[in-house]
Amino acid sequence: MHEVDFHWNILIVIYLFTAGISAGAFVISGLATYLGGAKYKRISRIGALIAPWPLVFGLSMLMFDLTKPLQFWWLFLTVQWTSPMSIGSWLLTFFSILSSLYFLLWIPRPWRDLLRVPYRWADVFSPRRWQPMTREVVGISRRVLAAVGFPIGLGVGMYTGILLGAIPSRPLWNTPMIAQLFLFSAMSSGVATVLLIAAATPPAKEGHDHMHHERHFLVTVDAVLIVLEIFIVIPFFLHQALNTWSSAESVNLVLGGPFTLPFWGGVILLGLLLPLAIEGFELYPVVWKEAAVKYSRLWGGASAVMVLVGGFLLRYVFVYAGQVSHFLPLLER
Amino acid sequence: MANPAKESNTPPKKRWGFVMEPERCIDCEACMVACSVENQVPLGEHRNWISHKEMGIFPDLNITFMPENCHHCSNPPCERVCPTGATYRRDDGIVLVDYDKCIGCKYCMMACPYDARYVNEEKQAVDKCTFCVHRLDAGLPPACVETCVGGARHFGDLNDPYSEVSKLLATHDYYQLYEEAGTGPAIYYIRGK
Amino acid sequence: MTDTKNLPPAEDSTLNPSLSRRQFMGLGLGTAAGAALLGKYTLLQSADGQKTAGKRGHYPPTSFDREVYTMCEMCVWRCGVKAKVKDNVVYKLDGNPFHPHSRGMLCPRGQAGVATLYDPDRLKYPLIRKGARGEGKWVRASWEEALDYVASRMLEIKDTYGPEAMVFSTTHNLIQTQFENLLKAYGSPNYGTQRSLCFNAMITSNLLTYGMEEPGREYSQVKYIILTGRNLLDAISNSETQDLVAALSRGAKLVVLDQRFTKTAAKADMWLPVKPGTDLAFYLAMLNVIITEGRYNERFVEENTVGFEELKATVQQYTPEWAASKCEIPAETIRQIAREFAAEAPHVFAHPGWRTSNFTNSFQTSRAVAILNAIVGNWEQPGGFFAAAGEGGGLELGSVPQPPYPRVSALRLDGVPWKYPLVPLKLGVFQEIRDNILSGEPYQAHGWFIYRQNPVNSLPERRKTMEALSKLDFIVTTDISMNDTAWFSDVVLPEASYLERYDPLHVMGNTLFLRQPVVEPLFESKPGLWIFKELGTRLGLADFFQYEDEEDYIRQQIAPLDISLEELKTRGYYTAPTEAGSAGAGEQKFTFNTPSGKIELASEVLRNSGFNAVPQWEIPTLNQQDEFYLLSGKVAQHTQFATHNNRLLHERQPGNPLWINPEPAAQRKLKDGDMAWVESAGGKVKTPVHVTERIRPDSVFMVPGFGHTSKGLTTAYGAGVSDSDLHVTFTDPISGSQALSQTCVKIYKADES
Ligand SMILES: Nc1nc2c(c(=O)[nH]1)N[C@H]1C(S)=C(S)[C@@H](COP(=O)(O)OP(=O)(O)OC[C@H]3O[C@@H](n4cnc5c(=O)[nH]c(N)nc54)[C@H](O)[C@@H]3O)O[C@H]1N2
Ligand SMILES: Nc1nc2c(c(=O)[nH]1)N[C@H]1C(S)=C(S)[C@@H](COP(=O)(O)OP(=O)(O)OC[C@H]3O[C@@H](n4cnc5c(=O)[nH]c(N)nc54)[C@H](O)[C@@H]3O)O[C@H]1N2
Ligand code: SF4
Ligand code: SF4
Ligand code: SF4
Ligand code: SF4
Ligand code: SF4
Ligand SMILES: [Mo]
Repeated sequence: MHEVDFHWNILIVIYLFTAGISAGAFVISGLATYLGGAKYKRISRIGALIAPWPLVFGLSMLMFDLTKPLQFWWLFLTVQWTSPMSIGSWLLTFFSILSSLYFLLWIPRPWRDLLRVPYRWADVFSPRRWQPMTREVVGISRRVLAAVGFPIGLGVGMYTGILLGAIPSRPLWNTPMIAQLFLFSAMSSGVATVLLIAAATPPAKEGHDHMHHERHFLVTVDAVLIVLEIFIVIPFFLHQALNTWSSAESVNLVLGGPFTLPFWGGVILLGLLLPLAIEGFELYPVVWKEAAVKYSRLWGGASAVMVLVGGFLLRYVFVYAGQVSHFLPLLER
Repeated sequence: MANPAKESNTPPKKRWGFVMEPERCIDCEACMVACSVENQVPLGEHRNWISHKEMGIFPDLNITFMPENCHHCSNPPCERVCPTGATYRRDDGIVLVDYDKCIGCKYCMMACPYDARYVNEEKQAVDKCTFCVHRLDAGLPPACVETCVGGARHFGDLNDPYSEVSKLLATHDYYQLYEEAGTGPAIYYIRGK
Repeated sequence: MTDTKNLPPAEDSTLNPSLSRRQFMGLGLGTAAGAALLGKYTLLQSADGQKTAGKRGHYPPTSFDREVYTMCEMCVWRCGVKAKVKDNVVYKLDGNPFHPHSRGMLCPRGQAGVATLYDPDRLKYPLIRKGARGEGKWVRASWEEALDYVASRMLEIKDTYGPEAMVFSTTHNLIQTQFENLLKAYGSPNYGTQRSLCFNAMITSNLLTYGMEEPGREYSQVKYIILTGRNLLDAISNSETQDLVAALSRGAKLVVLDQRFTKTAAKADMWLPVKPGTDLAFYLAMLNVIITEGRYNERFVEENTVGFEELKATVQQYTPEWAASKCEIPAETIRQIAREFAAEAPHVFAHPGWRTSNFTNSFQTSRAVAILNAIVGNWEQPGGFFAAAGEGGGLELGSVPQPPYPRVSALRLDGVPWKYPLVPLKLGVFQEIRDNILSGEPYQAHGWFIYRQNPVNSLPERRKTMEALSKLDFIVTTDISMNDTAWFSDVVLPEASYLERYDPLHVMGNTLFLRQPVVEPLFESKPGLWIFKELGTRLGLADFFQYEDEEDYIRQQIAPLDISLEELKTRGYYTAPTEAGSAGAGEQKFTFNTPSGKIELASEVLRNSGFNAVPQWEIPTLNQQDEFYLLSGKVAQHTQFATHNNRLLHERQPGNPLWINPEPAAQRKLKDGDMAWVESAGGKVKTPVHVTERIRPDSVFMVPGFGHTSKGLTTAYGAGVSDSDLHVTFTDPISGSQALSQTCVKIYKADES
């Protein structure tokens, strides 16, 4: 039998991670736009401004991983319905287009005004007569794009999991839960990135209040996602351990094998439990004492970083351990 | 209802496959060297291999040698996941890679439960056992089969009841590897005594 | 003579001139495929595409410029090869389906032949040593210069010390007759071959028992086989290995005696991990059971053997219970095997073995094996033994005319017959030559001509071999690669590889087989037939080499036959018509080439020389507490000391960790992969261990052939260690066999790295 070579390496881990961030950032931006409007405007903006870039970076990593980086466009000469990667490529393409447009709608005013659009059919062919977008148009466009992009963003987040989960020959990956796990982790990573940037960049003029609102919103969303993740991890392991011998063996890789420390220390403790504790500590007074959120940039930033590190390690552990996990031969023939 | 007359007129499709006799495999690896030379497999990679099953403690020991290569699955996961359609399955059951279409995403390597694939740096593509199609076309058996010193590797048309492989299957008990993966492998293993 | 004008000046090129691709192509391989041989990944690059299968360039070619039938020489078994050539590059070697040794199949080594042919480390030009011996500094010479120099040094030795001061040695090959021609014409009695390291015990015992070197084995109807250390599934003899697997598949029973659970043992019905050095006890008990229970073939014994009564009286004492205490095989097992063996007779054989050089009692073990076969009457029976021609023999070839050889009066340095009276002259005692070079007794040798052999690695006690070499004035080696012996020589002559030359014909029964060039010799390498003639001429021995060139040599050989060289070349073999009807199986009377004309169960020759006429129990040295027997044995993927630089084979078997049983390993806190010191009276080496259940707790095992000291072997250098550093020289006084399992070693854990 072949000894284990990791044919998918850190480049793929980065790709899956960054694609998740992009998807998460987009979705939280859209969510903020719909749920909060002006209240969460900064969240919407930060999310929108981030959304395209991690993915671009990740895709370039993916390209480097190909044996023929310059022939990646073969992917777009065909649609292979049975290949998650093929579908995913198209999905990522749409997402890139949408998130780029969305990005343009959220760049600050002076720059945005450089972008001009034709307001009348007659103007389409004479760009000199194009106009900067009116506030109204921008607002509608943002909402439209957020709505259209929302499912695509979710799709991208889920796709990073499905890419692995669709493979029956890797027992560690081959469960529907991995799609949900990766989706929630993607969202959480996106939220954490927004949180981190929000913590790092103080709001320009808007009042203290806003900060509390957005912080409340982000932390709540993130906490919910983390709880969801925890509730996937638990049944995931139960399911794997109680499944076929191959599956059971595969979870040993993380339960008592080479990947134990990055998984329990990195993914679970650092990436889920600690941030949840911090967020809980922040939310506790709000929920139970109806007090104002105690806002700490330091803690906020720290928990965001933890979530990101955990999210990265989650992909690392799954990509690598998954390649070790293997069908096992039946002992007696 | 299909027309039975019409059906019997069409010659049955070929289904190339292997029947292995682990009991006859002596782990000499002549098949591996032959394949490397025949198919110019880069050093360090291989298209076929021998798995060992070693059991027992001194002096009650038991080792089985299992010759293996790509199983040319009838439901090949490698083909299913390939995003460019580079991996394809021919009518006669042979699963091949179109080396020009392959971009080297290695997704198929993740999908193959038998670890039958490798990256061929020279072709800049993923590669694997081809059942020596170029030899089949020239009327020769695969290189690994021709040279098998133990006579453990048998090759032929599984759909032809008179082929050596079909006769072996008709007269012996056999099993396949990871059938549970639903791959429909075209390699059969004769069960030992 | 070779034209050396266009080559770089001699001083420029040392042993391994790193050729640019262009130079490489200019030197004989004018194609892209050849150039790629030096590439990082492949040996051969894809050439033509293939229509149905895929795009151009991605599939190997299916049509070739020519397919040449020749013979493999990756080992001594000589399988038929079909070489496929395109653009003067050998793409693939297939087995020749018409050859009885290959039957269309080649073993891994045969398949890897292209990597030997195109090994970047091939010797390219004659080299003359510049620095100190073993320093690796060489000057490239033309053939003219090199041969003149060799001849002048050899004549100097002959004139000063007599021809006996020059030692010649080689290992089993087809040009051996011409090599022997050279040394006999030169007048030296000192000729070393691998035989005493290999099969002396077996051959000598068969000569004394059957009057022939090695009885053949008939596998198609055999029902019961006993192998004593004959690891046929790893130590491959292609056709015989195929036969054994087929026999087992048909349902034949197999018993294997080996301290290791070899691949052969893995296929056996019964594996007997016999205590090292005690196989004789097992066979004596087998004889005891079969004789005392009256299970032998009375009629055959009466008509065809002598000395049965003496045998019967002698084995009386060797009951299975007695044997069990010696060889650690339960008495009941021995009894059971003896009964089963006798019950299936005559379709049975106890295999005579091949490398039987294990213990100083191996001769008597082989004798007991021969006797066991004789008394169950498997002679010329289906599934039994049959009379087979030894090396050579069979069809009568034409011979090249030559004058008689000079008379030799000097004693042989190998001690035959003055020290080893029973060792056949042809077999010799190679290790004794080495020891006597060292001791200078009975006279001092001064030169050594080594052809196609690697005694620095294949002789036991490498330290002694190196010392002996250091004592000599002149050493010349002819090889295809810079082996460890060549590395220590004064002149190295590059021979063309087996795919680039003619050799004298190979005869098997009434069929002869041709080795012929598939491609032109690479660089300046030359065929042995050419080298020996050129050297002989310079030594004033031209009369002994009366052939124009290689083709002329073969034409003279086939002159009496009804075939032309051209015809022979297209087929690669020729079968002469035979008169019908050799002895049928029903016949019961045979003649044997022994003094009595019968199979000698008791041998007067042995008695008269002061040895036991029938085998009796002898105790080989036993290991001390906490010492291990150091076992040696082949792997399927390498040949001897010769193939470790072949990149395809190196890839398959890159090293030789020491096999050790988990129990003693645990006592020494050794885990699989840990480093250990292995120490014997001969030397010590540091090696990783392979902890495995597949070996007796009192033995350790190392694959020979690794641990090359020549830096001219860039792939093999640094891979593994050599057991020749450990082996102590023990010679069996009857057969002259070196006892390769008799060395005991201590093992202790070493620090990492
Ligand atoms: N420790 C230990 N020692 C052993 C053994 C063992 O099992 N263990 N086995 C013993 C046995 S059975 C044997 S037979 C001997 C064998 O040992 P050796 O007699 O030394 O033979 P080889 O190792 O085969 O060395 C053959 C040499 O021939 C060269 N060669 C190959 N092809 C050609 C060619 O075409 N032309 C020329 N000129 N040279 C060529 C190779 O490069 C190599 O250097 O070793 C014996 N020694
Ligand atoms: N692949 C491959 N095939 C070869 C060769 C090669 O180099 N490589 N060389 C060829 C040559 S020249 C030869 S001579 C033959 C040799 O072929 P074999 O005669 O089979 O000899 P080895 O492989 O040297 O050793 C066989 C076994 O003897 C066991 N042994 C050692 N001492 C004892 C003992 O005292 N009693 C018993 N019962 N067993 C013992 C060892 O564990 C080892 O497994 O192989 C030939 N075939
Ligand atoms: S064995 Fe692997 S590579 Fe071959 S067809 Fe099946 S899945 Fe594909
Ligand atoms: S590596 Fe090539 S063959 Fe494999 S899935 Fe990717 S494109 Fe298809
Ligand atoms: S069929 Fe051909 S390609 Fe496949 S393993 Fe055998 S030799 Fe290699
Ligand atoms: S060539 Fe045949 S006997 Fe040898 S390892 Fe391969 S399958 Fe087994
Ligand atoms: S047994 Fe193998 S190495 Fe020896 S001659 Fe035959 S094919 Fe060549
Ligand atoms: Mo040998």
